[in-house]
Amino acid sequence: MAEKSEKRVNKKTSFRSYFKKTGKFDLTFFFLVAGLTVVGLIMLFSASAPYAASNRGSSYYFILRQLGFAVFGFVLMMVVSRIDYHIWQKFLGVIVFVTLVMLVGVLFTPAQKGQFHRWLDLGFIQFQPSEIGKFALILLLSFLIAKNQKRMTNFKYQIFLLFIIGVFCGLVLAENHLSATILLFTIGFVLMFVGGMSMKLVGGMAILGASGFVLAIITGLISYASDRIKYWQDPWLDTRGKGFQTIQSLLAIGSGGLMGRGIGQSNQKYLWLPEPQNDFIFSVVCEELGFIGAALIIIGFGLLVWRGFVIALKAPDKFGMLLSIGLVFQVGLQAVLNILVVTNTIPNTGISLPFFSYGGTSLVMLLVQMGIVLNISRSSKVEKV
Amino acid sequence: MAKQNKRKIWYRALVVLLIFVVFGAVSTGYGLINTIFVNGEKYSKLAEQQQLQDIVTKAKRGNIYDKNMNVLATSATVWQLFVAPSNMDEKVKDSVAENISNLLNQKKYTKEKVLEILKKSTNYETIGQPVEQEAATKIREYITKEKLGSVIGLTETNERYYPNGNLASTVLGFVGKDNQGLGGVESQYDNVLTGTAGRVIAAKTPAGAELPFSYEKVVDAKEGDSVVLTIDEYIQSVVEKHLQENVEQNSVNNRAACIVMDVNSGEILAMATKPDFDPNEPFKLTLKSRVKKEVKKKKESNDGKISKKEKAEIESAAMQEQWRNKAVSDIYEPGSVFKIITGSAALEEKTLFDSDTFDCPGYIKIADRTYKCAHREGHGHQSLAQAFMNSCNPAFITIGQRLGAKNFMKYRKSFGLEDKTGVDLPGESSSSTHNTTGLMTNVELASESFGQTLKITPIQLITAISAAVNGGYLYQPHVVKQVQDSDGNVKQTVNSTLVRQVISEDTSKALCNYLEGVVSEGTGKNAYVPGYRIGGKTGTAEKTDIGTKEGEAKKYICSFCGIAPADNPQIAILMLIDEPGVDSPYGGTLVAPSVGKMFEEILPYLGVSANYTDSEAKELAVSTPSVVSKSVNDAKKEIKSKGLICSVIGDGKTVTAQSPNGSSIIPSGGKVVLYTDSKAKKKKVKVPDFKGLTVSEANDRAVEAGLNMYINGNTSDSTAYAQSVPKGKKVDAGTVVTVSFREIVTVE
Repeated sequence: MAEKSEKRVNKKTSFRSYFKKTGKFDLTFFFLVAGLTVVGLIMLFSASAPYAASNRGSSYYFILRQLGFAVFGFVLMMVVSRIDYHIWQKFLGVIVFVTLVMLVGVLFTPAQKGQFHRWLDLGFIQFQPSEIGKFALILLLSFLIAKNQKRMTNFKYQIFLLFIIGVFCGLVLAENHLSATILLFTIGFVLMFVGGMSMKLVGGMAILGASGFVLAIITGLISYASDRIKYWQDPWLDTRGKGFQTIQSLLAIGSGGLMGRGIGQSNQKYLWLPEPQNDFIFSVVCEELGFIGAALIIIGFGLLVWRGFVIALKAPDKFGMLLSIGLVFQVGLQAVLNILVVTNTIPNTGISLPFFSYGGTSLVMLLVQMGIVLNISRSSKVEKV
Repeated sequence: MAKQNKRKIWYRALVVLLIFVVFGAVSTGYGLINTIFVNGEKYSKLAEQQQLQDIVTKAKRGNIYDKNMNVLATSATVWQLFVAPSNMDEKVKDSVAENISNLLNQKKYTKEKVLEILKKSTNYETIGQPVEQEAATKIREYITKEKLGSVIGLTETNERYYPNGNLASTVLGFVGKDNQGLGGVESQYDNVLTGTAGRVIAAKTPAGAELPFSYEKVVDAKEGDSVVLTIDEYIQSVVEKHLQENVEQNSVNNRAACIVMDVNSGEILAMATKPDFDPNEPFKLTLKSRVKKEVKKKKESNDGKISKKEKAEIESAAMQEQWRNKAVSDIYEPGSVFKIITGSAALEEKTLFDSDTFDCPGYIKIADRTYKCAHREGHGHQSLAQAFMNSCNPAFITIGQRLGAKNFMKYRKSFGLEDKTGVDLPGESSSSTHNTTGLMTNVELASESFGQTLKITPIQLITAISAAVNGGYLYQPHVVKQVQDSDGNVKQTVNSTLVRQVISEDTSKALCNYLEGVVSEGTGKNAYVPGYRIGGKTGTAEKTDIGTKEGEAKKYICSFCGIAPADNPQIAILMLIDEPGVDSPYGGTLVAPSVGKMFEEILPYLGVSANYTDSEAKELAVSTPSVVSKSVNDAKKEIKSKGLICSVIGDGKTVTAQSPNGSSIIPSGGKVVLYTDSKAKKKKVKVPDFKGLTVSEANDRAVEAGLNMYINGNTSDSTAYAQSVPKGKKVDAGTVVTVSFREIVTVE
């Protein structure tokens, strides 16, 4: 009994200890997040207004919803930034289990958006399990690598970790969600690399990744991916069809020039660019803010990643470090890939721009994750600004 | 161990950060720079193209009026059918093609042809020629009924319309496919007539959805200004009628031209070239016989073959030719008409006096050259007036030699014969004269003195002659009097431009006397019009640059320049026919009668009253009274009172019909046939051949046949050369047949 009660008390205090007030968080990182969120909201309003007015009956349709989620997400971020990030280890099992269930479950939902099973609709909320999948994978890998640091030299263990990555990637690939698969794979790879993966395996994984990619093209995804590659190489092959979105994006970016048309002045958002509030919001950004505005935003993302790494390197433990790296790297990589897509530098993969693209759940998710990084910064040895 | 491990992690994290930052910066930088700076211009242009629709609304082209505001050229609203083939449902194309073809009802646009257009993958195609209101309404109904509004439409456009067909076509010119002026006033005043096209610039969305706010910017089209010509539609039509008749009668090979000028202002009252073209169908070949001849010639030189290209070239040249305004664009040797210039210069310089006399042995020798007179036997001893009447070459060569090269050239220059007149018409040619800088030789002077070896345009010559007869004032010729805006407000008035005074009023007056003599007694007799004082000068120039090869027939340009009234000149008419295909090609014979007829119809119109001499009055025509339904006795009395005779057919008491009808013009003493029985068959008579008869012979023949003859043209020493009703035709007794007379003038 006593033991039991002591345990309970222990548990209680330790749980409470997660909410213990610790150091101040990293203001630089906070302002970078806040800045990107605000700019993202402004640009979302500008980009989505005509489409919203035409398809939803009100120019404010998207911005009001996104604004609500942003406020909610910010509150959550501040809360999360006060919760010791070790708490996530406690929920790791649940999170991973629920994520896997959703990743499998989504495959059995009725297909939306043509052939893709990507969205789960829980009635009150709509989201992509792959978004949670990224978080779950980062959490899981960070935990496993940090906890079994010594076993990282063990080949079998590394293969086990790779297998975990493979499970996540495989499930998302089954959704036909190539970009998310690539993201998951890259994040997993980076975490394992930083976590001490042997260089032999690094080479092995590189080969695996490449061959997996090739395999994806020549197997069931052939028509989907190869078409994407075809219209990537020359979107003008089908100006009104498969190349349309890419072309409209290029026309938007191209007409922005160095200085842009000025905020709110995009012409392409007037129903030319399909769904300008989603994956292609950055083309409207380029059209309105020009090369300079676009470059500043890219630098903003770069600073975010840099600051995240600084926080990581000064984290009190390995779990915090890997978690921080995983979370900011995920944001940075997604931003880079999105920009490469809108400029047609890589094939169109359907990847959103963090902080900018419309999507309440993913914005809230993003801010929560940024909250975790902020919390890590509280206990890190970073000089507080 | 832990420390080493940590360093390794540090190291690896930095590697990841570095690779990511470098990769991220380079790749996104590449993407943006490539899109914004390398291809930006191309993309932004494409963006603009798709975002904005820029519709040009054509301005209505201004009208062209004659001096009395009669419309010579106007623009009518028509509608052009267009389709958007790429957006049209494939399934309906067949039926749409059939319906459009039927609605258009244009030969070239069969169902197959329309379907071919509909099968294209373009966004915009026009079909057929523009249609008028009625057809446009039907097409619109069809579009509404079949709900094809998004793929078929009509755009309003303007089509040029010339209500008088050929009238003044070489002056007016015509317009091309885009309503741009080609040739004539249409080209010269294109800027004025065109107006400013309007534009509708509107933002466009791919689905055609409404925008939250409007981007539309409308710039209204501004209707073109109208141009009022100095051309008088009536005078122009008179000129063209007689010019056309002349061209046909004399088988003129190389077209004919005529200008009527107000001598006191330089205004061109009429200007015509025949054959010309219908500006409503400018690309219809009118010089077909010429094309045929050229094709035949080509075939002969090429073993009976002709390539498509060669034929097209010939046709294209013929088309250029039919549009050419001979009166300003062709230079020619004016021949004896030029003696007016030589004479007036010599009178002015006082190297020639009214009292001078000349002896003509039929030739004259200048240096080593012998010039023959047209009258081979020579005119003998003659006064200056007679020299004009006879158009004596040796006399005028003498006058020229006395005047001297220096003076001659001075007047050639001051009469404006060395420079373009600056008439406001396109395509004016420069004259070609001997030596404009140094001094001409005596031989050159001799040739130019009587209008040979120098080549000038008809507009130059009539401008110079106008100056010679109007008191010496050289005006710049012009065809446009006024520019008006679309509401009829005068924007610009073109005043007469006096270039300089060339000769004195006295000299001018003297000259007019001599010219009147030419018409009343000399080679210009055929231009004589009873009641009017007409002056003029004939001209017949051998074309020295062609037809000189052995065996080739000589070719001539015959001309006549008349002025009226001779005591106070108001108008001048210059007419020339290039290469008449008849024997005895003399200006006095072939051209003067036509000019006379023109004067006869134009002078009364201009309010110049006729003063008849007694003998003229006798020949004067009478207007027949209308006596139908009157009693026979009354009718007879009435007819007799007019100096006419009558014959009655039938036994009735009242007149049921008469021939000729009331208000017909017949000569004094003519016969009116009265019918008193409506059932009685009208008496038919056969029209005799009048050609070659003198006036009295012709009259006898007319009376014999039971016809009335109306005499046209010069009657003294004349013979008939044309009749209004062809010989052998059966007509009612008493019908008036107009017979034209002229004197055969065989000297210049």
